[in-house]
Amino acid sequence: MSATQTWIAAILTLALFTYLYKENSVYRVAEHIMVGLAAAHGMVMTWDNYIKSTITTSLLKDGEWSFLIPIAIGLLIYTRYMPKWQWLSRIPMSYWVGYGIGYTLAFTPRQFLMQVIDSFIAMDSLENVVFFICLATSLMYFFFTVSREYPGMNVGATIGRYAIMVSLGASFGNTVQGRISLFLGRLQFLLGDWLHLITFK
Amino acid sequence: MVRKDLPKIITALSAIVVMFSNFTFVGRQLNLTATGDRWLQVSTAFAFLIGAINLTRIHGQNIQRRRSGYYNSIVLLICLWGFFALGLAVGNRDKIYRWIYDSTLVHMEATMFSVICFYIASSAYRAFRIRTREATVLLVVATIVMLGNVPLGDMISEMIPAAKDYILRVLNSGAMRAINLGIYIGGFATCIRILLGLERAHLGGSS
Amino acid sequence: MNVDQRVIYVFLAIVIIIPLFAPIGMPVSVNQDLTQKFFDVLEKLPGGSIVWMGTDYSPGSSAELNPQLAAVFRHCMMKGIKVVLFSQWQEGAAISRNVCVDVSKQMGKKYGEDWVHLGYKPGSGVAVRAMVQDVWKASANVDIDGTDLSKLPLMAKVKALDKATIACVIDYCSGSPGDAEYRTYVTDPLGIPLVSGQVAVNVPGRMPYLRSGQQKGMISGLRGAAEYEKLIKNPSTATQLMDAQSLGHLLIIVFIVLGNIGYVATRKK
Repeated sequence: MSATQTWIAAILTLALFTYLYKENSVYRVAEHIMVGLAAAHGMVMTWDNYIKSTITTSLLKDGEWSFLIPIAIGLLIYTRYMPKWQWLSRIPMSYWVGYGIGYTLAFTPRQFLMQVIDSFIAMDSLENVVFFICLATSLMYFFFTVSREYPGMNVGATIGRYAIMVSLGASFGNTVQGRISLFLGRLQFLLGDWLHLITFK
Repeated sequence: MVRKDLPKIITALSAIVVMFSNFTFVGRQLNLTATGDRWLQVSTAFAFLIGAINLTRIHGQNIQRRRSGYYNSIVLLICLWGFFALGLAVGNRDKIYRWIYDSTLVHMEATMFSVICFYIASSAYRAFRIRTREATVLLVVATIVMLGNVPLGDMISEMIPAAKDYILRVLNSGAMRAINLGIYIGGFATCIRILLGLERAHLGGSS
Repeated sequence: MNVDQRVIYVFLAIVIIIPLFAPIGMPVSVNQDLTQKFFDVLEKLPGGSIVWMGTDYSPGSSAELNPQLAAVFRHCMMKGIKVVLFSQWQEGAAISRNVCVDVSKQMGKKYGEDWVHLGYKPGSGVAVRAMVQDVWKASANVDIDGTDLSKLPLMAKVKALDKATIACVIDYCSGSPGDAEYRTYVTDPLGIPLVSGQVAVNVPGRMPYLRSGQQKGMISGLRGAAEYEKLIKNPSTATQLMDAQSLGHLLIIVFIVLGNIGYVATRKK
């Protein structure tokens, strides 16, 4: 990046960090700039990386005129802004959702079953026994159709609750790691690339 | 009737075509999803303006009604359509476009996420209390994992990273698998409800 | 008890910044369950193999995933493994490409022969699925720069995302769409090994897949990147940042302890 780019990036970065002091207009402006640019970038990427080449290569060069049908379906989404024709915007949505459901029902059972199959493990080590207990009791915690009054259910659900707490604790520990890493990334830019106080390899 | 039922029929038909193409021998031979996948890519790509139009309507109203902070909306719309126009004119691989993108968006998005680090520190001090046994378990495990995830834990004791690995590999895996299985089952149930037309949230209606 | 949160922010910033100026040099050990397994998968691949890299993240996760990508990409280039990159996220394409260009220049590797970036294509899981059928058509016949794929020698060997062509799928993932799409549509059905670089937040949720063998290895956040740098004997940015990471974690633990001491003391009153 050039020096000008680095300065612009640093100023915008610090503008967003000002929110930590308190809500202010500098932060608000920076935030709105980001939202505007992000939305624009998404559109440009889609246009450049797919729509343009679809029109020039697939339609005009290769003559795949059948693509006019999905193009028309995609364009129907914009009828949501026309009160009289608003109902047409449900057509692309229903097509996309239906297609997604088809894929989910066709492919996801394998994922599910592979997880289930792997759960039937030999209880030949303490690790496997503990794993299975955590799995079974966590599942029991989410059984709401069997009353907790049964002693087995109550004990199982209680152990399951603790197992889930362990999992949430692990998630929290990893979340802390992740967030601090993100801040370190910003420090790398501010102290390294902008102020040149530290050299990073 | 057509307005109400046509979307449901399209949803069901699309799903059935995909399942037929994957579950049956005839379907695999016909390979309808080879075309269907590309059609879906094309149709979703052409809906690319929807977000920008929504943003324009909302912020346009802010400007029209001179709501508090409306000048921010002006900034947003200038950035949105100006950057889009530039991208259309020169493409996303152009030097000027890249110049703006690399100096603004990349860093701003990274900064927005990095701010959460401070909120976690603040909530660690103000909110995480050992009020119950479950909370105690959560915090003890979190402490072990936090220490185990950094070289400091290795320096304090070899047991810390080993304990962290055990927690993640055994205890966490069991509970997470149970949660994931529940999510899968819930997902299947929702898919079947949508397929049967019992769920219409995606069409803007209630079940 | 009632400390202004801005005081906490300042403490955190100071504690994290100090080790950047005065490094302690704490040694990084390699996680045998996660990073070592990831490394071993690539290490076993012969030179000339082609791997598929999904770069499914945004700048918000780049601090964790860019170092991972740099280290793994370098490992591939060192071993002569060819790389095809593809992004299901719009920003992921540009940021991952910058990382790969830097590493490629340092190692004297050539774009089009040693690696290709297909860029971003809309459709997420559907795009991945379309790649399984025909990479060229699903990419609209162009790479990230708009170059026709017929002009890139590596792409002559990559017609479909299938087991015959791709030795391994590597996905850098911060959310959805991400490795789940590869697992669902590519690696599980076709039997291609999957390894992933994850942001630390995702790791607990992915452990069941590691256990079931649906994933062969994983790199966890910035620490994982530091471990991988150690394995390829090229300590870099991630390794430099580990001291700061350590002290940051320590401070969070201190905050939790202090907060609870105050809570218990207040309760006793």
